[in-house]
Amino acid sequence: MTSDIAMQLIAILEKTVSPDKNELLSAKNFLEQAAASNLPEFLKALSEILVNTTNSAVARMAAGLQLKNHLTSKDEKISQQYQERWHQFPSEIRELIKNNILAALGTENTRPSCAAQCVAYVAVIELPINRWSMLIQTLVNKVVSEGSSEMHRESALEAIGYICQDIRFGVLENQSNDVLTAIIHGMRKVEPSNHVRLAATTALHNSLEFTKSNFEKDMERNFIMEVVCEATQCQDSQICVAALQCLVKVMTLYYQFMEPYMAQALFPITLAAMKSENDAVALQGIEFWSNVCDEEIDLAIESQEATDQGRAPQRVSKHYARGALQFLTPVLVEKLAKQDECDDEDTWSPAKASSVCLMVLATCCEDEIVPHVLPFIKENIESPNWRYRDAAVMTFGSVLNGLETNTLKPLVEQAMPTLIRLMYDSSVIVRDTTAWTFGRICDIIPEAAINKTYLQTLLECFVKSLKSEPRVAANVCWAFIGLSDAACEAAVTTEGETPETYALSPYFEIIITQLLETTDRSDGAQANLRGAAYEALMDMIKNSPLDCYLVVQRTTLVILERLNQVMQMETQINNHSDRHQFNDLQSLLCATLQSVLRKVHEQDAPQISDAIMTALLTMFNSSAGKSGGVQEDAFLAVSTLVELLGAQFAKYMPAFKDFLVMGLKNHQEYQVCCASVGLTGDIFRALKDLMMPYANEIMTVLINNLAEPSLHRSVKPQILSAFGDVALSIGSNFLTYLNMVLDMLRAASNLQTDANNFDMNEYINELRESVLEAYTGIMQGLKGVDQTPHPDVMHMEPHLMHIISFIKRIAQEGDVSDSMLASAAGFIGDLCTSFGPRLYPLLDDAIITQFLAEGKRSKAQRTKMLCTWAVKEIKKINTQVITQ
Amino acid sequence: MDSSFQELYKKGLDMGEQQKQRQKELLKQQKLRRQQEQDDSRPLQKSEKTPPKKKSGKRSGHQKGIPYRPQLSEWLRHKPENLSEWLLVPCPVGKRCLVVASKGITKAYSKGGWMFIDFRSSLPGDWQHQKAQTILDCVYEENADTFYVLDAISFGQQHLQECEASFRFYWLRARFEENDYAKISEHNDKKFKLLDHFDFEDTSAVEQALHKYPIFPENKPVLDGFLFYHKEASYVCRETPLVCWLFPFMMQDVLGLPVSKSYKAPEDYQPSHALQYMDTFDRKLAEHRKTLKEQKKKVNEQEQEPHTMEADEGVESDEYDSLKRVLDQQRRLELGEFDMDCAEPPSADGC
Repeated sequence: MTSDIAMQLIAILEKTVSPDKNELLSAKNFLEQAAASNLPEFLKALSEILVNTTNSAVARMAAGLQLKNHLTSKDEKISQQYQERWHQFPSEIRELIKNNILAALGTENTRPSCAAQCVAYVAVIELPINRWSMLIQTLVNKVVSEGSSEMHRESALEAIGYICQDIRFGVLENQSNDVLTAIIHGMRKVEPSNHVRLAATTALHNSLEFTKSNFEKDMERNFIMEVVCEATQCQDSQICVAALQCLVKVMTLYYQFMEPYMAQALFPITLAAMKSENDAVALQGIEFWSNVCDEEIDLAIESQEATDQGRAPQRVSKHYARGALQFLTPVLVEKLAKQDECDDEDTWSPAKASSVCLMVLATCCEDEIVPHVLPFIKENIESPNWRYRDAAVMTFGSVLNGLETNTLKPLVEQAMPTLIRLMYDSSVIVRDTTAWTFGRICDIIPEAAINKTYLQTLLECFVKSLKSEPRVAANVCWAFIGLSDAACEAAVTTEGETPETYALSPYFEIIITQLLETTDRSDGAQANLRGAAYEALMDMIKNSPLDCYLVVQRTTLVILERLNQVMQMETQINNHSDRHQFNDLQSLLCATLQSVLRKVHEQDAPQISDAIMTALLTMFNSSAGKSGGVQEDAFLAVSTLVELLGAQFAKYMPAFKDFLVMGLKNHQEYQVCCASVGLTGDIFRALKDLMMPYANEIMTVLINNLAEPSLHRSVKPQILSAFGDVALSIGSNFLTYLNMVLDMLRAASNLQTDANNFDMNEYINELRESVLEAYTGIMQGLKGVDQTPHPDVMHMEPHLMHIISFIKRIAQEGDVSDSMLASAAGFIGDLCTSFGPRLYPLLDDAIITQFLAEGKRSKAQRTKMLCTWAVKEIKKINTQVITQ
Repeated sequence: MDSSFQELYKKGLDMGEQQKQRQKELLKQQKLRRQQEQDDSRPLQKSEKTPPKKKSGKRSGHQKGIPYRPQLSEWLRHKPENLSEWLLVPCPVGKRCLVVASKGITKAYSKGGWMFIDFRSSLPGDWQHQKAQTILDCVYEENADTFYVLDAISFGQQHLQECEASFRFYWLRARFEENDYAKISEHNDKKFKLLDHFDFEDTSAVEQALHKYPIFPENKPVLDGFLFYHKEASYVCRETPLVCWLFPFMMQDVLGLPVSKSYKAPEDYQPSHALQYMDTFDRKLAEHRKTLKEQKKKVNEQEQEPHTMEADEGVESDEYDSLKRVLDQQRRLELGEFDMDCAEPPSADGC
C-alpha cells in the first residue's frame, strides 16, 4: 500500500464523522468496497493508521472502530464467521495487525480506547486456541509497571475488561491470578487516576465469574473485598457505582463467603448507598438487597427440598434480609414517595426499585415485614400529599405476595373501603397504583375481594374504572380475571362441573358489556388495554355458571360479528404497526371465540356453526390468515368447534381440508404446525371414517413431517399421538400406513434417556407416552369394537416383542408419571384382549407385575382403574392358558 | 441503569402467560378426549359406585355429560283449533326421569338432573353398542319397579331430539317390538314398558281409550293424567306449549271429550272453573316448594360434616315424602310434571 492510498483512506475515515449525509454515505460505500476487495490488507492498513500517532485522532478512532467491526458482531453467528475468517488470514498479516493494535494501546488520547477494543476482540478469537499467549502478561505489565502512563494503564485495563466480558468460560481461569493482580492494582486507593480506577473496577465486575478460585482463598478474598469496599467510598460517583455493582454481583456469586464482611462492611455501605441522593448510587444499594433476598429465597427452597429428601442442604441461608429488614423498610418506603411525576416507563428509578425490593423482601421475610410497613401505610394512605398516598398504596400492594393468608385476609378486608375510595383519587398515579394493587389482591387473595360486604361497591368501582386511563383500566381487567376465577372456585361443588350460579351472576351481564366496550376503546393499544380486556372477557366466560348462559350466547354473536367486521378492515391497513395490531386483534378474537364456544351447549351449536366456520374460512383465506399467530389461534378455535359439533363437522371438511394441510406443512412456525396436528387428531376422533377421503393426503403429510429434520421437535410427539387417533378412527383402513408408522414408532421408542439432561428426558418421556398412545390407537383400531378381535390385529404380532420390551424399559427406568403408567397399563390390557393366552409368556414378567402393582396404588383414578384392569386381564389369559 | 428486577415493577397481567395457559389447557383437553376415546373401547368397571368427590357439604351439581332435562308440559287451557294434529298419551303416576344408557351402564336422572339409580339394562349403550347412547323419557313406578317410557331423546345410534313426535313414537314402538325390554334378564335389571299413544285423527280409538277404566290393566299403574303431544314438535328439554297436560276429570270441561265416570274430580274442583283450578294448583305448588326449599336450607345448615351421596338422596326422598303428604289427595300431581326437582323454573341449560 502506497502512502497515497493510505492518505486517501485517512481522508475517507475522517469523513465517517461528517455531518454531511452524502459524504457519510460515500465514505461508507468506499470502506465497504475496500473490505470486500481485500480484507486482510484493508485491516492491516487500518491497524497502521491506528498505531500512527501522527494521524488525526478522528482518523485513528475511525480506523480502530472499522477494525473492531470486522472482528466481532452482536450477532453470534456473524461473530463466528468473522472468527473463522480471521484464521484464514496470512499469519504475517495477523501478526502485523496484532503488533500494531497492541502498540497503539495507551497512545490514543480519546476515551474509550479503540485500540483496547481491537486487542480484546482479537484476544477473544485467539486465546481459546492458545495463540497470543504473551498478551495477558503484556497487558498486566502495562498496568503494574512503574512509570507506565495513565493512558497505558487505563487502556490495558479496558482491554482486560472487554476480554473478561466476552471470553468463553474456562479460557482465562488459569490466568486469573495475573488478571486479578492487574485489576486490583488499578483499583487501589493510592491509584491517582480515577479513569484508571474506573476501568479497573469495571474489569473486576467482568472478571468475577472466573475468579472463583481466588474467592475461595481467605487472604485473596479479604484483599479483593477490601479494595472493592474502599472503592465504594470513592468521591467519584462513577467509581462508587461500579464498585457497588461489583458488590451486587459478588453477593450473588459468593454468598456463602460473605459472612465476615456483612455486618462490618456490606450492610453499612449498602444501606448508606440506598439513602444516597444520587439515583445511580441508590439504585445499586437497593439492587444489592433485592439480590440478597433473591438468593435467600432460592436457599429457602433448596433447604426445603433437602429436608423433603431427608438430607442436609448444601448451602444455608444466613437470613441477612431478615436481620436488615427493620433498617431497610424505612428507607424503601421513603424512596417510594420520590416517584417521577410523569412516569416514564423506560426509566428505572429508586422509587420503582424500592417497590420491587419490598416485593422480594416480603417473599423472603414473609409475615415479619408487616410490623415494619403497616405503620407507614396507615399513616400515609390518606395523606393530603399524593406522593405519600401513592407510596402507602404501593407499599401495601408490594408486600401482598409474601404474607400468610391468615395475616393477609383481614388486612385486605380492612383496607377495602379505603382502596375503593382511592380508585377515585384525583391523581392518576394513585389510581393506577391502586388498580394494580387490586389486580394483585385478586390474583393473590381473591377470596378477600369477593367478600359479600364490599362486592357490589367494588364491582361498581371496577366497572367505572374501565373507562379510566388505559393503564388503570388494564389493571382492572386483570383484577376481573382473579375475581372470576375465585367466584367460580367458590361455587364449584364437584370437580369438573359447571356450577348453577356464582357470586358474580347478578353483575355478569354488566361486566361483560363493559368489557366488550373496553375492547373497543380507541386508545386500547395503550398499556395493552385491548388485550387485557379480551383476556378478562375470556376468563369471565370460561368461569361462567349456568345461569349466565344467555349472556354467553349473546357474546358469541358479538364476537362472530366482530370477526366479520375485522376482516373488512383489512383493506384499510396502511403500515406495519396497523398490520401488527390487526393481527393481534384477530388472534384475540379467535381466542375469545374458543372460550365462548367451549361454553355453548351442544344443542345450540348447529345454529351458529355455519356462520363461525364461514368467518374462520374467510380468515384463513385472507392475507392476515398467512400470519402464524393468527393461524395458530384460528386452528385452536376450529378445534373447539370440532369438539362441539362432533361428526357434524364433516360438512366443513371439503372447504377446510386445504387449510389444515397448509398448517400441517408449516414447518417454520412450529406452533402453527403443532396446533394443526392437534386439530387433525380432534377431527379424526370426531369424524371417524367420514375422514377416509382425506386420510391419505393427511397421513402423507404427517409421515413426511416426522422425517423432516428442520421441524421443531416438540411437534413430533403430537404427530405420533395423532397417528393413534387416525388409526382408531379408520380401523383396518390404516393397514396402508401400518408398517411405515410402526417403523417410526420403533425408532422413537428406541431413544434413550440421559440422566444428565433434564430437558431431554422430559422430551423423551413425552415422546414415549405418545408412542404408547399411538400403539394403543392402532391396536384398538385394528382389533375393532366387537367382542372377538378382528384378524387385522395380527399384523401387529411381529412387533409385540419389541413393544413389550419397550414397556419394560419404561418400567425399569423409574420416575414414571401417572399418565404414562395409565397409558402403559391400558395398552397391556388391550394386548390381552387382542391376543389372548398366547401372550401370557411375554407378560408373565416380574417387571410388568410390579409395575402394574405399583399403579394399582396410584392416587390417580384412571391409572388405578387401568392397572387393576390390566392385572385382571393378565390373570384371565393365565387361566385360559391353564385350561387349554 | 439495568436491574435484574426491572420487569417485576407494577407487573400486571402477563398476556403471554395467559395465552400459554390457554394453549396448555387445550392440549390437556385433547389428551383427555383421546384417553376417553381409548378407554371407551375397554370393558372397564367404571367407578360410578364410589361417591363423586366433593369440595363441600353442598349438594352435588348436575352429573356432567347429561345436558338433558325432560320435556315439560303446560296446562292445556283451551281446545286446540285442530285437535287432529295432536297425540294423546295416558300417563301413569310415578317419578318423572330420564334414563340414560351409555358406556356400559344405565342411569336414571331425576328431573333436576340428579342421578338416583344406576343399573344394567339391555338398552343400546349399556349391554350392547356401548358407544351408542339411549336416552328415554320415563315415569318410574316404584312399586312395580318399572320404567314407563313416554318418549326418547335418542335410541342407540338414532338421535331423535330433532325428530317429530310422531316419528319418535313410531321409532320407539318398532324398537320395543324387536326387543323385550320389559323382561328382566341377566343383562336387564329393570322393566321398561312403552306407553301407548293415540292419534286424535282416529277419533274412535281416542274415545275408546277415554272410556276404558281402568286404562291400565288392574289399574296398575294408576293413571295420573293425559299428555298431549303435538305431532310435529321436536323434543325440547324444557317446558313447551307443544306438550300439554290435563287430569282426566278436566277432559270434559276443557276439550268437551267425555271420559269414564270412574275418574273422580277432587272436592275443590268446579267443572266450570277449570282454568281457575289450574292456577290455584300452580300457586299451591309454588308455595309448597318454597316451604320445602327453606326446610332444605335448614337441613343443610345443620349438616356439619360433608355428606355423602347417600345422605343427599336421603334429603331428596324426605322432601319427596313430605310433598306426598301435603298434597295427599292430589298425590297424582306429583307425577313428573311437578316433582321436587323442578323447584327452580326450567333452567336455560335445557336443550
